Amino acid sequence: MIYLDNAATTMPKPPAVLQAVQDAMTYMGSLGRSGHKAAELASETAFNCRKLAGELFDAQPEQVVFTFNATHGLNIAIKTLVSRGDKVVVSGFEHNAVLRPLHRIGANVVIAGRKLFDQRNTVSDFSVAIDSDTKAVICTHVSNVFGYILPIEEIAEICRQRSVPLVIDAAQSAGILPLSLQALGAAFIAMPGHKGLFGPQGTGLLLCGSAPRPLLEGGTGSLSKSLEMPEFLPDLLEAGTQNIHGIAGLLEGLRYVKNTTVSAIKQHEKALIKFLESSLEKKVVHTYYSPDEQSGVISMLPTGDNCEAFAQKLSDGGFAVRSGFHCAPVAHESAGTYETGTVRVSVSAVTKAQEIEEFADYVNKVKK
Amino acid sequence: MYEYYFIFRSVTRAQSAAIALRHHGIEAALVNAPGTISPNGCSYAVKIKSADSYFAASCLRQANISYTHVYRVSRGLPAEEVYL
Repeated sequence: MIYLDNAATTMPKPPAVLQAVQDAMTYMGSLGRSGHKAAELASETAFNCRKLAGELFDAQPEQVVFTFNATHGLNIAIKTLVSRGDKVVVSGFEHNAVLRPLHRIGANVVIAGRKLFDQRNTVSDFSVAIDSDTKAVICTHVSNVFGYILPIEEIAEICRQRSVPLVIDAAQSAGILPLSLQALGAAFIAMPGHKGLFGPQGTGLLLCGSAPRPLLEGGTGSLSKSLEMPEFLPDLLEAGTQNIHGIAGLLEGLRYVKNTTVSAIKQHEKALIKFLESSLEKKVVHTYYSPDEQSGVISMLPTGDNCEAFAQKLSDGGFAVRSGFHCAPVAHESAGTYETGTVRVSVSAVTKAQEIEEFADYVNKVKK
Repeated sequence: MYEYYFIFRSVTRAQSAAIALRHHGIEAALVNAPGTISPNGCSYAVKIKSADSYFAASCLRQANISYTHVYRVSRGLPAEEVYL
């Protein structure tokens, strides 16, 4: 199988990630609880993971909170900042991980920046939309459907100038594009561990630039005699036993990203998408592509086929892609694909050019 | 013989402290703080030899790593809070 669904989860993981998970299951106890060697090893691993994440994303270790995935982190951030009726400005490319919590809360959602691959329009729209009534701005860094790289640096600047907290969904950018909690001045940045950071599923990180409110209350291994959750990070957000097996794997994933470097990963993915786009025959598929404002995700519409049937043909040919609406209906509305959905191809640092060539050849053949 | 326990609010901060102290050549053991010096239950301490206590406090201040309390502990005697 040639795996091109890395926007869902990266596969395969580096061998060190698998080994780390196995070692953790063999040797590590529960972090931050007991004082024995197995618990110490767990605590040390967790700390090293926070420290390395802090180095990659310009955050202190205590600002790096372990979550189950980006959705978990986004829920914490959104429910900290937003109440019923609050005005929230979001982009035209948000995932349901942002939209559904806002819907549930009953927020007044204003969508800014609907033009695909138009950063200038996005900045301008956000600038108009963000005013003194705005409670929070929530913005994806990269569209999970189209790979559109949103201008979060400019949006962050607007938010800083107007003192509006910014939440960034880094699900498709962590480990792929540069990201700095300090430089952006974001209130929160949420990311999964299992995509661009090459960790196991069930892991994620929430970088906290602001004080959050906990989603869960429970044991933290600290201040146990108090019935209140500890007020300090990361304990405030880490009730219950943490997924140290996953965290151990995530630490190796972070090491892989650090050693490969974010800039090399970014260049590699952009080159693969460019190669793919130039290899596909235009009469066979329509691709949504931008040479400057796109990461390692590309959507396409097959001619004369619905997306699901086309994706099935690709799967029959040994290619793993995703079809449909990608949990991001607003993105499809913005791009004009709300009726059809799209077929999404997404690469990673380990995808080979030869795999892209084989995929393009198959697409061109199967559509004839 | 005394030992000094620097108490931290979270294990993460205690870990940062232990690393910072070891970086300065101070022997620093990360331990669960004894119950007698954890009024709220379950806190983390970095245990230091008596001779290193003042230097350790200075290193932590330089590294901007705050602790909540320091206790001087000796076997058979009640722990005594100290201010370094």
